[in-house]
Amino acid sequence: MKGNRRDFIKKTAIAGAGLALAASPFGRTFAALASDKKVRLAVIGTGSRGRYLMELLLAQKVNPNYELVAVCDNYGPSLNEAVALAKRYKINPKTYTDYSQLINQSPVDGVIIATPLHQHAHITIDCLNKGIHVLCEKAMARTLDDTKAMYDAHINSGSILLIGHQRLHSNQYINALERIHNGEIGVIGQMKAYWHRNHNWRRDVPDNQPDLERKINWRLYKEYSAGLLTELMSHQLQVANWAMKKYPVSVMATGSIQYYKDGREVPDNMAAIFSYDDGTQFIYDSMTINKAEGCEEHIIGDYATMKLESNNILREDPIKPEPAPGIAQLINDIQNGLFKSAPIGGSSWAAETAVSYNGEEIYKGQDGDGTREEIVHFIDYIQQKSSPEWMTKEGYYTSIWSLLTEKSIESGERITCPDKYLIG
Amino acid sequence: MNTRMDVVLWGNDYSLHCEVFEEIKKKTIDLERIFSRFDSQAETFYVNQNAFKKELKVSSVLFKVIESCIEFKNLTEGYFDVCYQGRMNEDLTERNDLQLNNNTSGIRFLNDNIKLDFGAIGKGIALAHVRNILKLYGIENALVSFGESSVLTVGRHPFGEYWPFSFQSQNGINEELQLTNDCISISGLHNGMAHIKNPKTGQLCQSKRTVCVVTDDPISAEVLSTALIAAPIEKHSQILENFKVRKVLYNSFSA
Repeated sequence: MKGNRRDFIKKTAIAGAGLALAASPFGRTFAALASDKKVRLAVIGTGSRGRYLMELLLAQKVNPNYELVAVCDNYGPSLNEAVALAKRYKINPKTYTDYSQLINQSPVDGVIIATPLHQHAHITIDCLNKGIHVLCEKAMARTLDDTKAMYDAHINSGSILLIGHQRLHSNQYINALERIHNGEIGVIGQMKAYWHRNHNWRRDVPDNQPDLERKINWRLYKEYSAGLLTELMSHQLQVANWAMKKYPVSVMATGSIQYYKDGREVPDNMAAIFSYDDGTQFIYDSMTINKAEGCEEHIIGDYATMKLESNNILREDPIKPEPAPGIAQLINDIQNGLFKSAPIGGSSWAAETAVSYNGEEIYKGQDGDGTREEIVHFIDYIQQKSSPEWMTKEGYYTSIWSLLTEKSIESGERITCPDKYLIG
Repeated sequence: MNTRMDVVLWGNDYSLHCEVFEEIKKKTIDLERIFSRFDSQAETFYVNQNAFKKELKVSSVLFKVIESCIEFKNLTEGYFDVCYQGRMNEDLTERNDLQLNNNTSGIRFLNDNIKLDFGAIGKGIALAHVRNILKLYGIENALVSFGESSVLTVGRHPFGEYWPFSFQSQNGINEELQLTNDCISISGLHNGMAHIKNPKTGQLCQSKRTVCVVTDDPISAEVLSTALIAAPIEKHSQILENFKVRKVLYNSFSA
């Protein structure tokens, strides 16, 4: 039975591998040749995340074929910090406090949107409709309808829409997911993930401007964000969907404000179970008062478990150790008719390790979480004038199911996806 | 035992050697089913789960080994103790943890934190059984190794008068060992990591010392190599007086 299941996985993986290859973001060489013209970029939303993305663009010079021509934020201090950052790199992008002025006045090929969640939809849709390609931070939008509207604008305009799920661009994750799809961990029986922090998630509000509370701490208020669901869980739900190559059929969730009773409106802890059509469950939880467990995704198969954040694979039957060197040498010598002393107990001594088996590293060589690669690929896609559609769908369905999780928490019911949000 | 077993048999009777190997393999698996604390089907696993609640009747093999372990605890001044696993700091005392009933082959834990762990003796037990099998089949020359930390030699190498080994120190200095009918056991750091606990303190033994014990009894060799890692060096002479030992090597110097 097990062999049959593995054969099945391998057969299906052949088709899957072809798909992954076609969809692979590694098209840089030919992309760079596609156009000599520099890609003109703008960053809309220069808060901490936006400036981090700017820093990647400016400090690491991820690609010689782009220039940062404009930045925009409607919060003065954030915009000032962005200008100061740009000056450190001896560039002087145009500044705007209104994104509509930016896209009407500055000729840009692509924008990176890192505003609060509730602002993603209308900014993205306006950009796409003007033929400007968009890399929008996850999650896509604050509401289901806005999420669908963003996707529709992408389809109707033909402009690229990439959602900021950086793990999709991490070589470490790409390698792990290819191996999962090729059957290395066997049949996926369950997935679980968590993101545990010990922080109230608050940003400082200037003493003399308490009216800025909701603007600065937008992640804590339902009008602007679904909190843990859209800001943290969505990353890991995307990974689960990627592993399954499909999307959930239902979600049951619960959450509460259990610890930080400080006026926030979004849960400070939550748990959810996503079900897939083959019976696989994805079990998720997040909390904000203890970080001992940290952040992790477990993809659990009948042959092995991959822990993706820690880059670790734990095989159910670990690969047997190589023959102990001393005995191996002794046997080799006997076969060659030699009488030689075999080393034992020294540095060549391979002690037994199975009891303390801690798994194996999945991939070497990935620096960072994939955000840098995400920007590189976005620039490449702009030059190619196309991007992998499945990546956009990953962002879309991840956002949809993050928001459906919120509905489950609010209603206490098991939630399925309404037909009008299915995009095939 | 979660380790690699190497068996070297030489001679002209290939089918006999195959039969002996299969017998050794079977016996080793059987013993694993008694002494493993990780295998949920193993007798020791069951005892660890239930022996505090009530007295359990155990197999004669297990009962005899537990009796031996209690004796070894005395002979090693308490530095070999199969009951150290799970013991809490407040229980690090000299008191008896086990109650044995000779009439019923029964065992009961006197402390609910106690777990039996035969990790420091299991390979020696297996090698003792292997030696009996070799004798039973009339094998005159053989070498059996568990992960190169526990080795049994019988007779000689096909091209020499003994089985030649060199014990490597951390400094790369070798000590030649000419083994015939011997048992050796090596304990120390595993890949640079401590794994043996001092039963009297509950602390991992972080010393970089490696100990190699050569005896004619594989069980004693296992017990001693572990105890000499756990015990302070000044206790070693006293402990060694209680055993019939051919040689003890410590890294680059011998005692």
